[in-house]
Amino acid sequence: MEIPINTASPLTMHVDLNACFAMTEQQANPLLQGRPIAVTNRLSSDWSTIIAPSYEAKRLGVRCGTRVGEAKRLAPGIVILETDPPKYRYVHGVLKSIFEDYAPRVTMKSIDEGVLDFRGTDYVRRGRSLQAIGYEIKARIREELGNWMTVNVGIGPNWFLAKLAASLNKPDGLNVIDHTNLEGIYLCSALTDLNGINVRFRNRLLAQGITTPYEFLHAPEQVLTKQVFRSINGRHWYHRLRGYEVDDISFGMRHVGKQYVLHHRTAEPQELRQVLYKLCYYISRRLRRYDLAARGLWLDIKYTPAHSSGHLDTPPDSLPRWFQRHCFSEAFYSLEDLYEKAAWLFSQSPPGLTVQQFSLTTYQLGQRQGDQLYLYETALQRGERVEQALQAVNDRYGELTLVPASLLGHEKHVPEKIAFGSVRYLTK
Amino acid sequence: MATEIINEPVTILASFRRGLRGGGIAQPEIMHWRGRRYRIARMGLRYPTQQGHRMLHRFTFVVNETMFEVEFDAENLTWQLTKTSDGNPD
Repeated sequence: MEIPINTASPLTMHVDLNACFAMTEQQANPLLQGRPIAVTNRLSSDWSTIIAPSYEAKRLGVRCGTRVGEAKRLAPGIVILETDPPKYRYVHGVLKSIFEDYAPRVTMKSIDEGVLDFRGTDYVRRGRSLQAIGYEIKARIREELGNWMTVNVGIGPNWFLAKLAASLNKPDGLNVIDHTNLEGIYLCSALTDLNGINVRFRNRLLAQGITTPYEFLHAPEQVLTKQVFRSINGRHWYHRLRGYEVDDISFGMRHVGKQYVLHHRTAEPQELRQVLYKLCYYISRRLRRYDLAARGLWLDIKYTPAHSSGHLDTPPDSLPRWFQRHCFSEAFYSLEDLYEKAAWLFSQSPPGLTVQQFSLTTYQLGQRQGDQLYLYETALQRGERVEQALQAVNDRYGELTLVPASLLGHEKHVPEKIAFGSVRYLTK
Repeated sequence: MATEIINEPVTILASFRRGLRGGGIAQPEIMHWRGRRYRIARMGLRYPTQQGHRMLHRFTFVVNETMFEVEFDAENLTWQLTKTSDGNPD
């Protein structure tokens, strides 16, 4: 049965900060406003990727994912900056609190974008349009964060169309998509303009003779389900394109991990175990903060190629790699437990290779259960109390103020990096 | 010069007013550093950062084509000039 386009009032608003990290850096340093700049997670290598170019840099061809060296070639004089998480965390917090002043239900989709659900509110009944609220939110953001900060606002009957509306007229746009203009917007958009349609899905659509979003809209559900997506996704797309909500779901935290690219590449096991210990330290802190325990652990190591001298300009995606994961019968969260398991995985890795990057991830997460009570204190409990005391000192005075003796001389902080699109660690 | 790390104590004259959502807004107005007086006209961003329980508020502003970043230690009530930048690549 064919389903008509949703004619309900558009009550979902998507707000998206333009080129978030770059714009925040331009706000923080007004001398950079109007100039090509870009933000990367690591300044030291020309192979690092740009995670946020400013609009001025985008006009010169610099994109998310462009290598730093290539960005310098495309935009001579470009200012490359390293990510500064406290700034972005602050901006994220201000955006969220502004959104919460207007809508009862706010979902932050990533560090720089949020969805405001106005269903059930009486704004419209009181004669206030969502466009007026959108303009007010834009003004509030400029007032509270600074004049350089602009956002795109999109309004639609579901999150997908609200996001599509927010992608029109960048930067600083405000657009509404509803049943009256939906087909017109699809007629002048490309398939890859739709959020969720990447090159692979576009090719699948093209293979079925669907070349535009307009044709996508009018494709029968059977074709989408059986031939294009070959899954329930086809049905979701059929509804999504018509303005019905299918994306209003959220997932809990499914893994906690940390990645570290070594400045000093080494094959020395003792030094590598110290790096591993530091990763365990941060992961254990996060697990405790969220009252979680894990059962699974994944270690992923990238090596400097044998023919290379280990210099910094080796492209990370072409490195030799080894990984191993294991699901343990007992849940774990303490630093010592975590390190013991990580070291066991590490002991299975090929020896003698120069390590460039470590990535350690815990999975199979569950809420931490209360520890069993014993009549007499056990060595395990004493260890736990020592660890709690260590964590309390570091909470008070800052990360790695107090470290285990095995880390002495290697206390250097593993800097926090922002995972674009993730707000997992920003809420606590 | 592009970015220069300074980390020197400075004297700041700041104003405090009530913000839109009930919280306060602090804004440096005048900075004294190395015997010179800088009147701050163009603010950049203010954002908090933590070292353990110690809350540090960072402020950025521009005076005479130089960007200054200062840090207010809310525990010890001290100001420090952390860095300057002329906005050019390092």
